[in-house]
Amino acid sequence: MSVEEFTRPEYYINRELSWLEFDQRVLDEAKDEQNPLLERAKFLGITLSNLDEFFMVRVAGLKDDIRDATRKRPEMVDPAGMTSSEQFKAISLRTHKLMDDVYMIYNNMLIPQLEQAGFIITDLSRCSEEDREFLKRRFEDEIYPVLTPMAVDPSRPFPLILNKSLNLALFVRDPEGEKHFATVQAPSVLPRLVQLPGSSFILLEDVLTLFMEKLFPGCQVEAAAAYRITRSGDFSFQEEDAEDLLREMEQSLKQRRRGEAVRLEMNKDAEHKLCTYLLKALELEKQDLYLVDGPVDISFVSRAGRLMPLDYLKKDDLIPQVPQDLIGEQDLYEAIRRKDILLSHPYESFQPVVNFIEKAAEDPNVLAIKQTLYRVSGNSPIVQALAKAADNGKQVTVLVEVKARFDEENNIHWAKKLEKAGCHVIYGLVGLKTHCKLTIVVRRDEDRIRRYIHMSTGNYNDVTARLYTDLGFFTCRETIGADASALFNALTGYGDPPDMRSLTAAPIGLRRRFIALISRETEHARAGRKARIIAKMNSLLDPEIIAYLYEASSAGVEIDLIVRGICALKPGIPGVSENIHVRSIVGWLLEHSRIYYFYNDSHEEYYLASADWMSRNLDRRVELLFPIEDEKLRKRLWDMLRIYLSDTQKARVMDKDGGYAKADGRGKPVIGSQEYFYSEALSHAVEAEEEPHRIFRPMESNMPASDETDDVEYKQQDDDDDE
Amino acid sequence: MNKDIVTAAVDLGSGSIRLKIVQQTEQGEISVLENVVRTVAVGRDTFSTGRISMEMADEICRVLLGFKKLMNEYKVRRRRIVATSALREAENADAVLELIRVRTGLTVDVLPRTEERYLTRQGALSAIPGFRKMTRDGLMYTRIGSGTTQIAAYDKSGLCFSQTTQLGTLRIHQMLASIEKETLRFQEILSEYITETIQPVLRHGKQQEYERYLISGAVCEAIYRIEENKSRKESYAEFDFSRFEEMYERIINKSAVQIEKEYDLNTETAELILPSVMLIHTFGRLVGAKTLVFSFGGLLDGVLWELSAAKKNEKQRERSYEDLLAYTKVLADRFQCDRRHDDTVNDYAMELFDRLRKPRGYTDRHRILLQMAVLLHETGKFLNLTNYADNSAMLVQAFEFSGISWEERHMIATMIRLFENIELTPKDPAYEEFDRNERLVISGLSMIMRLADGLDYSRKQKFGHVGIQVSKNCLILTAETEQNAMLEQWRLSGFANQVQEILGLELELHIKGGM
Repeated sequence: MSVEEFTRPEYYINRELSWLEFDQRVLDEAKDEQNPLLERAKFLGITLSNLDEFFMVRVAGLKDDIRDATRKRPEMVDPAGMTSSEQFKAISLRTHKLMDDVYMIYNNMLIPQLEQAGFIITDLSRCSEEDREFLKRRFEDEIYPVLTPMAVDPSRPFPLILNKSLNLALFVRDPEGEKHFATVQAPSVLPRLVQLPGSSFILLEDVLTLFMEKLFPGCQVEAAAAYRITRSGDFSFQEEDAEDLLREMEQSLKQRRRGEAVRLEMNKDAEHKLCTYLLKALELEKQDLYLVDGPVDISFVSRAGRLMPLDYLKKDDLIPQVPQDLIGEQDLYEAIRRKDILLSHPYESFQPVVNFIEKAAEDPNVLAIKQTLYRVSGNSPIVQALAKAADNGKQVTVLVEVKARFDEENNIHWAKKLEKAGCHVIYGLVGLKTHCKLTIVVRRDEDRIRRYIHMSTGNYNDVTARLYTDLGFFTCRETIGADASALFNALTGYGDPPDMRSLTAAPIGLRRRFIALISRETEHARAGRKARIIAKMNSLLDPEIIAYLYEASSAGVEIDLIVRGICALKPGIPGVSENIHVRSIVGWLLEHSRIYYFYNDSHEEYYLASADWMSRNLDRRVELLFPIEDEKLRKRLWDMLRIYLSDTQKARVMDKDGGYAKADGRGKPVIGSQEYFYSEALSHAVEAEEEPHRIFRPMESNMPASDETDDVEYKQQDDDDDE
Repeated sequence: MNKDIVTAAVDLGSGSIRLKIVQQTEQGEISVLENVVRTVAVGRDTFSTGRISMEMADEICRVLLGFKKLMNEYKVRRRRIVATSALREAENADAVLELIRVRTGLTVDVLPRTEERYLTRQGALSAIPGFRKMTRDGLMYTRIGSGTTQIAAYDKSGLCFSQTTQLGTLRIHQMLASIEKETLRFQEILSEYITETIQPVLRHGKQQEYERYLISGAVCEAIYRIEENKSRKESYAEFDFSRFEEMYERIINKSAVQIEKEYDLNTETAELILPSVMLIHTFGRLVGAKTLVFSFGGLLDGVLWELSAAKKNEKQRERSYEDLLAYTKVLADRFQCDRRHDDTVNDYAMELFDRLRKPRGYTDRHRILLQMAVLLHETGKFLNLTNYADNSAMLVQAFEFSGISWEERHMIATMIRLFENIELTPKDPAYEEFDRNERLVISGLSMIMRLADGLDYSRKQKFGHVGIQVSKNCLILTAETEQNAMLEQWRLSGFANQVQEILGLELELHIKGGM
């Protein structure tokens, strides 16, 4: 078969449905009794926040297409042959099922177990007089002053309800006997869970319901129910026409809070007329309504650990260890000069990356620092170091990607700060997101000027570096330095896109390169030689890459894919993909690294990348693929891949219909890859401690760096998953 | 670490603006720190309207400012920004250059054609370590451009031939475009055309078979990529000619579009591949090449080579002077000059020059020009014995020398005229173009030529060693021979007034001869 024949719709899984299966896998962690209780609650919270984003971006996009299609052009059809309407229908069915599962876990597993641990969420029926008195005081003193009830009548149209806010919908009858709809937003400044005397909690909406008549003096409340809407979170702007990109972004962000509604959540016992009213007012259809068997938005359960001392119900914090490649090293730059260095986060500390910049900022021999920033943490030490470097007279060039979705405000803030400090700040390329993670430090060593390079599969974010698995790489190889420099010159507009020798960048050749690498294995297989591909990534969606993988499989190439999230490829189809095996690993850490291995007739090649096999990565972003040539590091990568493929605890194997089942561990050693890598990092560190005077200690305490770790919405979803 | 060894060069070319920053390590290695190309069609305006538009000038400034930032990052101390035909031929070049200077702080040198060729060739040669070794067995060199092709030949004594032909890839491409439509035998026809154009050139240049054939030019990278299926990593590459012929056979019947797609080249490059390989193939066969050497060095490398202060490069600079003189001798031989007389005069002239150089402020460059004038001053006799000096001067200005400017050639020609006692005054058109200092140098050097020639006026090399002393106000020439030296004595004593006037010295002769 030719490659074109592998593009038939029946060989592809719809992206959105695949994503929902991924969210199901996240939810399955909330079910898994082997996980500590609070971790399971966290996974439930993650499932829900994932779904919020899914609706804000993906479902909103489909609805836009459906709406526009009736007026302008036919609906789009995805590679699996589904129109937007068909997708929307299938999504609705699947999501309703998912939500049922969410609430089953909440009601039957989490809440009873939390109650056993002393964390009790009560309701009005179980409140004592003392509780009610307490609540009355709380309501009058703290809650009522910040409420703004809004009635709807001909002179007061339906108000703008904020995205993801908690609200109370009411029907009230005024003294004249007229019935009105009214709504009250529960302000986000107020805690969702109100603590009662005696340490149990009650939901804020229950408190509002208890005292709702105070909100409408003289009126009678006939019905009340909590509700929540999700709005479209996408926006676009004409960056080419924007004279000032920053200002344009800031204005567009304001629009985000007010996009069209795409989903309505209410309790299943809410009065039917209230539901109907809201659907009409929000211009939603019946399938947009999600009636849940419990409180609306139960993500609060993931924060239980902050409200009560329940540490014993949490997993022990991961303490990033000294990277094995840096054990015994006194000077980071000297170490890089001697050998390439691989860092495996979060098992190994991110601190050396921070040190890399901090030291460069102070080093009088450093001439220049150049870095791409995609998503940075709130109080990033890296950003501070860059500002300091500029203060110290270094030439600092920073490429801040302001279009990192949902991080735009944060990035705008840091862009301004860096500019004020004297850095040359660039906002990427028009029409392309700069997604590669690259740092260049140009340093005048004793004998020559060298470029010290850091590249990574993950962002320069010291907070997510504790939660995501990623691989970072230090080198000062000349060929890589020359390519990195040439690429940076192109990104900053100094030069044309370069012809590179070692690195490959999207969108100027990465797609072609991947296809060439896959095709080369196909040729090996056709010639009767052993051929193998192992690829680990976050998402596999690109139809062309998938077609080439099918071609490779049909030629006899053994292909193992470790795809955490969305996978549009169908494994196991006879004559098409019977040599392709797909597994997904979802665990307490977010799998985020991208590793690509090609056997190449025993001349094995290993690559790391900032890119997944998605069209947006290959065509619409600046991405980097870099080779690992050091033998020791290649052996390490091989061991990692072997462990990923041996995981029997957290791996789910995909079937040809897009369903997932736990990996068959019968007769095999019990291996959880994340636990394995962590214990490996620990044992290296312990061995180092046993050897005196060879300890490189990262500048970290044994506690989490800050409360910020708990505040981070640890999402079991790629933070880049924004299309 | 010596900060001066980070150097940078910028080339404002017709199609792009390029920056190269290099460092020279303590071990003498040169490594490239930055190699940046920005496509800016500077030549588009010049070649179509004769002027550079203000929009283009703005774009040039923008690019140069970015390059300046990069150079500042590396704390470059020595740099040179050069421009070639796009600015050379623009009517408003001066205004554009001034705009660049004001906006960017950078001064751009517009290279004369000869210097451009010289530096380009030096760039190509400096990219090849061990280039000198290669020349010992004979090496043919071509630089393939779009409008012209430079041809040079080297043997064990250095450069023995240099010529530019109006045979560039663009011309061949145009021919190919029209012939292709008429016949399938276009390969043969073009090969014949190329051979016919090159043969007369090679008649002089081809002294032997040249097993090594060195090529430079923009298409080398593309040809390398076609051959090796990857981008080049080194500054040069060698292939067996037989391997090149296989590649030639593979692609000769493909169209430019096919080549573009198959080898992932841009349209412009793909269109020039066929003419280039045809040229190389024909030429390679004509000279009997067994090995092709592609040099990826170019003008920027030549500029950097010149800027570099390393001993290694000073040696190379000396060698380039040696090449120039070797080629001058080849020309002198071609025009049947009296080599023994010229060599003797040259020796005397060099002695005189070295004695007079310090008080008169002469440079190494003047030394070369003097030698060239001595070796070529009688070439005009080949055409006509009377008024041969004018002919010699004309020939000097017609010869193609890579490495000296038009002004310098004009100096040599004027020296030759003066040597023949043609009285030139500052009002003479030939002299008008020189400033006062240059006129002083010309008259001084031609006086040295006369004195040196006078010492072998009979062309019998009567004297062996000639003692030359310069005291406070005196130039003392001491020579002894067993032969009759009255002719030389008469000749030299006739210069006494001129030596007084031009060199400010009293001429004292101590010439002893036999009967």
